Amino acid sequence: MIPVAMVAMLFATSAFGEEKSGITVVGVGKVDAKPSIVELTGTVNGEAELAGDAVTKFRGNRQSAIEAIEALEISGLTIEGTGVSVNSAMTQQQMQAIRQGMAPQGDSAGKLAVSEPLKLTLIGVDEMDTEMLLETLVKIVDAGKDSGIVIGSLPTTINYGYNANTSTPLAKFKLTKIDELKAQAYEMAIADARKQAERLAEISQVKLGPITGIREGNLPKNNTQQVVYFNPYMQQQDDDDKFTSTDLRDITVSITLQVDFSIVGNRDE
Amino acid sequence: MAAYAQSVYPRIRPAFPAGICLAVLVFCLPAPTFAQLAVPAAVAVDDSDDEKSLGGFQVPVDDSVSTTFKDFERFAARNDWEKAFRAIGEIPSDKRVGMLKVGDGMIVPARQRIWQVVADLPAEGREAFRVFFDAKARELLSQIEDVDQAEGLKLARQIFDEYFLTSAGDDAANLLGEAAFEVGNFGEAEQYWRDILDHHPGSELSDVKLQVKRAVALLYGRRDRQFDALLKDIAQRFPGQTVVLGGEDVDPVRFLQSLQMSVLESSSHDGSEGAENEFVATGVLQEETPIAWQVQFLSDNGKKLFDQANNSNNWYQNGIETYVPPFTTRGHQLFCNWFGVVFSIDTTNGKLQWRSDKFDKLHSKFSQLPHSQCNIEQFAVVAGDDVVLAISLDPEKLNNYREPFQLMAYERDSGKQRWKSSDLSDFKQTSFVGEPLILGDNVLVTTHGQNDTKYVLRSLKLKDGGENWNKELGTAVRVQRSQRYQEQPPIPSFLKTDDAVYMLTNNGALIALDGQGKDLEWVLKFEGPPTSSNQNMFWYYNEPLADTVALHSQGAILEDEGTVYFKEAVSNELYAVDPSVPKVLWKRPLATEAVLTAVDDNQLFVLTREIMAIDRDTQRLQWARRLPIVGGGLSTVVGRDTVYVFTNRGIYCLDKQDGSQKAIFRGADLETNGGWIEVLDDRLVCVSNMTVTAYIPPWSKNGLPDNQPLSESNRQ
Repeated sequence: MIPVAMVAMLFATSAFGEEKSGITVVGVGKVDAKPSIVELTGTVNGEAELAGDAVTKFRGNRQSAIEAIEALEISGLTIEGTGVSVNSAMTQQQMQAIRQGMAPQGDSAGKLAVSEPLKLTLIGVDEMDTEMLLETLVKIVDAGKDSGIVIGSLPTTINYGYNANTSTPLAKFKLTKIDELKAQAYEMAIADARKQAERLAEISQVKLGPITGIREGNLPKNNTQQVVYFNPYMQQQDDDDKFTSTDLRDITVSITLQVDFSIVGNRDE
Repeated sequence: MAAYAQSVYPRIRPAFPAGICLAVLVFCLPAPTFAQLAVPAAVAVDDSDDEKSLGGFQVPVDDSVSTTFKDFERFAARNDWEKAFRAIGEIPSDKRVGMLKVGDGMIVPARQRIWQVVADLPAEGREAFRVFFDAKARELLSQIEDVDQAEGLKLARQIFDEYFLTSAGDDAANLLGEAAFEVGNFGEAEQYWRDILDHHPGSELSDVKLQVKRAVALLYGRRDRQFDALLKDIAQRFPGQTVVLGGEDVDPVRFLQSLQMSVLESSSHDGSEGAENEFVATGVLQEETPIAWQVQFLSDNGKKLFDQANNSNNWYQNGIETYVPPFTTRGHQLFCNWFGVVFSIDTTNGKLQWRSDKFDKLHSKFSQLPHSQCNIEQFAVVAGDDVVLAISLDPEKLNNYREPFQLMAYERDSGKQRWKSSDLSDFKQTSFVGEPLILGDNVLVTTHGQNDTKYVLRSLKLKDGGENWNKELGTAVRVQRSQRYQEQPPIPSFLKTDDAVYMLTNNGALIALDGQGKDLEWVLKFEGPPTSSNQNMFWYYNEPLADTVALHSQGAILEDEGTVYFKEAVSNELYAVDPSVPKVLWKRPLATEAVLTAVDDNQLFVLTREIMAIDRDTQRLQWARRLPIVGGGLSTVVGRDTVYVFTNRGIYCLDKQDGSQKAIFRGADLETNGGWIEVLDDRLVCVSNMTVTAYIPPWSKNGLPDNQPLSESNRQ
């Protein structure tokens, strides 16, 4: 891990405020760490006109996918199902009708689709060199393709149009021990805040007292109008999503703290 | 396509003529050699709109026979036998030439339909029938001894058709069965003897002898499973009984077992061309499987141009990027038709023997090909004893609007053009469609006009293209398959069996013809493809190809053990038909893009982007496995224990029982889309969109000396 402390935007409230006196600063702590897990998602499915066929296909495809991955005998690689879904798949005619803004015809000819995303997790990638990691990933992707798994998350919508980009990332690199990294980042954020506060105190010729308050996040900006666009599809990100990259590079754990320091008198006193 | 025309799975071949002679001796036929049986000549169908409502291929309609037949049915339903038999008397044997609807889409010759309805009469009706017609039938039977063979057969046929339920009917059927057997129509012979057993309970002919005759016909007709079942039945039902065969009392079971051994032995010594091509694929292809040779017809430079053309085309896509050219094999030669460039490869050494044009002549056409007006699925190639026939276009006319496809004949050995249809005055504006079927010195082929879809079946002479006869089959509905400007006529598929020719219209109908393809036996009508009025005619920029286009799904028809299996190109149903009745045994849904590729003893194999094995008896999906299939040439080699599929990630070797992956042999075609795969002699041949490659599989006895790698010496 490479700890990096960055100087954040200095923000000082009214140093001698009417209701409370003190210095409020924003401290930022950032810890860069090499991802230790790589995750691939493969989808197995069975789609057919007859429900029985769809189930048979799904079972066969799932079994061959798992066998193919396990046959690689890659240390630290696990595969797990993340839940089976059963859907009514649309025929091509129905899809075309929808694209043209028409109601699709009856669904009696529609297919039944049974599918399950499989999560392939490889741990210990931080101990591998890039070459070895790439080689391992290629093996997994190859085995997945050989066994007919659709590797990578499928786009939920496809735009047929100019410059439409339908490529999707195959792997997600993730951090583990996020709590430890966060703890480091917190320490660095506090240290950063104290450093800034001391500097302000020195300039202001006051004595810095103990911390009287800490809040996570940036200070709200005054005199700025914020417009929030509601996006119903945007989901709350948890740590699992936050500390993830689709590129093989260091991932930054960043903590921003708003820290209030008290002022205990003038420097001359 | 060659891959469909012959199953790789081994079958017992009848030994001709020794086998026939043996059986003829066994039966000690008093009847001399009879001429080919007469069959209905006209195409006429019961007047009903039911078939029309199914859409797709339509046959001409004539209601002259059906009115009288309906009278018969009406009187029979009321047990008014006198009126019923009078009505049917108005349709004598020689007038029963139209076609009548049976139901469930089946349309059969009037002769057959009327016969069946009479044979199925209730006991009271059967008795009445005998009272009405027995004397007349006996009189006709007695005349047979006084006339020549052809006339005798005609009389027997009349008795069978019109008076089967009388005391003379079984004798006439027996005579007809023996005559059919003698000329090699084993299926027909077995049917006559089965008719006696099933519909003539009062017959004095020996049950066990009729069953033995049936068994022999099944054996020579390559219906092994049915033969085995019947043999078991005979052993159970007639223990200790003997039959007189060849003047001797013999045990029927021992006799049949001995005959079976003899047939098996004869088939193993069959010296006909292709008989040595009886290698049975087995086991997996190891990583070190050697390559015997490779011919690259699309050069690396050509591939760049081809890809450029496709990459810059984002609207009217016809699936050219995943197209694999059709091929066929004959003896030690492989023939391929690549957008009109027909070429021949010596499969023993991979040498290019001849080609109709330079491969790189097509390079300048690539930029136009993605939105070419021609139907690329229409290219075809077949080979006969001394001729190669290609349904093709002059490469210069690849992009012409509705350019008629020509039939071109090449000398098999030299590639010299023998004739082409555009030089024949009758065919200048005629488009040839569907893989031609070579029958002896003639070829059976379908055509339609440049601007119509009236399908005509033609028999042409191989030597000069002269027409022997033609027959209008019906009118097809154009189908919008690819993302391009125009709808296209469907491409029929043919299958020749021992006693029939089947034409799958790929447009909602299966047509059964006699062994020469001349006379219509029956038609099965089912739901046709959607018409363009129901179809989307708009496409989006960069819209992915529909699977039917990307996989170049073709209709396929296969026969095994007397059952015909088929799936049309744009249908979502797989059918099994018993042609001897005829009737649909079962049908089941399948993906529209699915292609039926092979049948073995227990399973049917179907390919889409996955391979499926369907149980023949239960129609259940036994197993399925997703494969990286991206383009055309959907085919399988079904071996003893392994199924082989050629994909763009190599040749998959799958366990035949459960579909589990035994191995993936990457091979020398990873740059291609995958495609056709076939066992040819002792080689495993793969035809892709770029190359023809032959591997030396483990079951080959004739490997290269030192597992010779692909080199300049065996690469062209």
